[in-house]
Amino acid sequence: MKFQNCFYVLACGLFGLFSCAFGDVPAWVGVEVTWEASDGETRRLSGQLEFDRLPVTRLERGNFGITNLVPLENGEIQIRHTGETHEGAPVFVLQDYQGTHRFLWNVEALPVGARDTGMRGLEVGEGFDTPPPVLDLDLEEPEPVDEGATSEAPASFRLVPAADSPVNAIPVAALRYIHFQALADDGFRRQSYTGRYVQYSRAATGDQGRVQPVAATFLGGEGDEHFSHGGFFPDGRIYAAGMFHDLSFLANVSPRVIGRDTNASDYPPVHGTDRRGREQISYPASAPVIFVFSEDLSAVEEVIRLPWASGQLADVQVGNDGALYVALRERQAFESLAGHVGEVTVVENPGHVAQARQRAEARAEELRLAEDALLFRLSPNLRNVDWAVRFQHAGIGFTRLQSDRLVVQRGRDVYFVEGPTGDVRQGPNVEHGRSHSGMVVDPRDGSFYFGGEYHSGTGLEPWRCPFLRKFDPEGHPVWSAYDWTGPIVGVQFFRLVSDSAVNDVIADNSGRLLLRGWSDGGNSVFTRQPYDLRKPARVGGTASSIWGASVLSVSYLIQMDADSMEVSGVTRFLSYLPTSNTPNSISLRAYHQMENGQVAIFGHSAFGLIETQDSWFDPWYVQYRTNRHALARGGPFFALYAEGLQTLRISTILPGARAIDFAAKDDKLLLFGSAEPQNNSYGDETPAMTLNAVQSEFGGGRQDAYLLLVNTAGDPNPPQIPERSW
Amino acid sequence: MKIKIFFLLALPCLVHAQDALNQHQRVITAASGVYDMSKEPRRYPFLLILDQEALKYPSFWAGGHAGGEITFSPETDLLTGDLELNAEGGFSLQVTNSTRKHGMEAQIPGGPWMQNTRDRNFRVTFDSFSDYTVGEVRRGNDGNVIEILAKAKGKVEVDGKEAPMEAKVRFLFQERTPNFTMHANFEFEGALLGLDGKQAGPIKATLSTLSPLGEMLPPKAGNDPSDPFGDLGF
Repeated sequence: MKFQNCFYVLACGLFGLFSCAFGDVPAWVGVEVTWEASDGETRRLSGQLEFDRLPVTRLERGNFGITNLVPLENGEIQIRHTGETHEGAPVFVLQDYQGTHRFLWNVEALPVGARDTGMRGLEVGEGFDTPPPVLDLDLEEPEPVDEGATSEAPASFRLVPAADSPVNAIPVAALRYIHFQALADDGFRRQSYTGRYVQYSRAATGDQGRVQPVAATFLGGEGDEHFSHGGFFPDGRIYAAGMFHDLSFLANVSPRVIGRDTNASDYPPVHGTDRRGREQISYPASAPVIFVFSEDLSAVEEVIRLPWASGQLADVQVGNDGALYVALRERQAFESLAGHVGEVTVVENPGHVAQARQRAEARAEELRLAEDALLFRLSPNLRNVDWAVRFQHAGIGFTRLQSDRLVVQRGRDVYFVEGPTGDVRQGPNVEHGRSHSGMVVDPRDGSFYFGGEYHSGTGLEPWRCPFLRKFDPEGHPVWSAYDWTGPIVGVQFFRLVSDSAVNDVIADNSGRLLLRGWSDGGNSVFTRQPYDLRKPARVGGTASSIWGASVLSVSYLIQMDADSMEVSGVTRFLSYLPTSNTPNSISLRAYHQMENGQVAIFGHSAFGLIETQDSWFDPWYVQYRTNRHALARGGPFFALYAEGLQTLRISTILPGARAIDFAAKDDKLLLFGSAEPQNNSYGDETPAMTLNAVQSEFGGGRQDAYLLLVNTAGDPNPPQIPERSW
Repeated sequence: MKIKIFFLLALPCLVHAQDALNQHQRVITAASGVYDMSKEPRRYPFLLILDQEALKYPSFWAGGHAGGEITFSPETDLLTGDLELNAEGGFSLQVTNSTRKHGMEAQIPGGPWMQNTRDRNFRVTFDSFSDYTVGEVRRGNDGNVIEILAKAKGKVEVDGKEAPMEAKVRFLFQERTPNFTMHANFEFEGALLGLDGKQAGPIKATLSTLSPLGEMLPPKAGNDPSDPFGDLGF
């Protein structure tokens, strides 16, 4: 029997048959194998699938992951043929329970044999007298691995039948089912879900299903599309914008071009490789495109495109009157836009020019100036450019104030641009070091914030100390939050020794700030008021416990009053390994504070995401009632907190979602970004949600642009939680 | 005969004294010592928090010991049964670090002192202690902790200016190791230290500091302090 690779089948799941972690690796699992014999008869064989050593992912400290086939129902597994065959043999996909590796094995047969190990049910029968040789694992396109994780070549394995076996090998092509028996026998330690994963899953009842998807749609063709900006017009219609190099997927809508159009063919795709040597294609012809959707996301009403290759979209925001303010950075065909939008106000950048000249002279090279940026206003009917301002030699960011004044940042310089007229006035020059958040403008009045960290060089923990500073619109400091130092927080009397930092700040019209902080522990100054260390902040919320983590990196969400810096709520959101009751990580990719104080988050969770019982896809807590092998989940997710960050209104996987950001209006929440056709996390292949969709099918490429409209105040629609059936 | 009568008359006093001594022995053992505060090895053993009614936000400061030696030689008054802490000496604490509350100089007590704190000779000095009472005895991580309440007099200095203060003090003596933690609450006038406006009024201070390890008291000549009869010359 020739084997190119070993094929490992492990029972997985919930009431798993394996102990993992902490080095206690079982040597076998009970199975019943069903196959179609060469005479056409269906045969069954009970026995033990025995391993010398599991093909595992070795994690830190010698803990083992488990590779497994995810059982579909009732412990039975259907062999899936995926991908391409290799030299005629079928290919099987296995994932370990942490999802960090996907192993593709080419197998020919499941060996059936015997070995005298004294195991119950073992009989020496036909088959191998000696274990097959150790075979190398043939990894195909290995996924990125966790730090410290390595893959080992699998050891030998065989099916040891309880009775004499008529065969010594079962061709894999003939396999129909492998039934993993739930009973644990000698030598096994039954593993079950326990600890905080179960506790929080039980407690996370959600909000009676009131947070409901209204519509979800792809938009895209063969390429990789993505919406980088989105929002609501005052009349409720929706806009979404991004860079597109091909709009042939559009049906029934012809784009309207602003500026003088160019030929996309003049800017052909550029083929190259990334640093890993993988092929990469860039599209210089890409142009900013703005899509306008109906209020319910059911139709594309308008498409506005800028000339091909004219610029890189930087921002789109909507004004009080429905006008759109658009910012972009110069590209090859910039003049086809900048030279055809009427009168353009130019804001020079003498500082940059002087520096560039100095550099050119010092290096005896040609003068090189950075690209310009353009900010313009698209009239409320989206047909005309009302005004345009050209900022020379730098990119810009801007915030629209409630008054429709735009606060524009170009490096350290601030400019005020009046929305209706385009009048430009210079603002303060703001210098601030080591700010992770950058300058965040309060849309109420134009005051601004910087959040970040500094290093307390006093030899005392914490080393990384967070700060958040507020300045008035003219650049005068107003208050400083946190900004303690090691000598004050790290000594005997407070011992708030965890390194912490403010990574991001959101300011909105409500007068609340939403901070995203980071810390490496629970003894963080974030657990106190930012102005008085004696006063605790309200820290809590579902899935916020961090004890038991060995290496910790935790995101904090903090809600704060923008005027008084009073913190109204602090939370952390973690996942939990369901079998070892240890915190697992979550990375927050996007977050948004609605005007009513609710906070939406999107991120990627490691295995063990806490889903509310009313999540949009049956969570583990519901599935488990009828399927003892139901698995916990991870991957992309969406969650919504009530004001104060203590109550989780919904937490749900968001299958296929890649990059997502938010916009909100009243009770509506818009998730915009991009998505793959299905989930690809921890064995879960749930298709991406489409609902009342403009485009329900995935268009191709690696991702399509994606929109999801959510009603956060729907009528109650509580989940149907079945009685436990086993 | 006269001696016998004297003995009989003195006996109740002696019994009373013995009882008091038994109660105070733990305190005496724990609190006795000579503490050279300049020997504190930790860089920031001292925390100061200032609150002011006219201002919304407090201010936080840290620092070290600026010298001074304090001796505790507690003993029991055999006639009254009271414990006398017999604290002699005093010490100073120097503020060296402030928080970095940019823009809030006028919004926190002592806000202007955040600039160049180290150069301002910002000190809190405890000159004398009195009015001692024994508080609670609590179990701590390293044995029992004995609380002694007292009053103190001293001053606050900044930029060459002084403001007197009287403090309520709480000493926490470790029973097993010769050191103490001191917490003090006092008030002083901001105006006396050059503050004006809303910062000029009374400032409430909460102070905490740690002592270095103390040294044993030198023995008194000829007498065993635990001998109730020693002072009587028996």
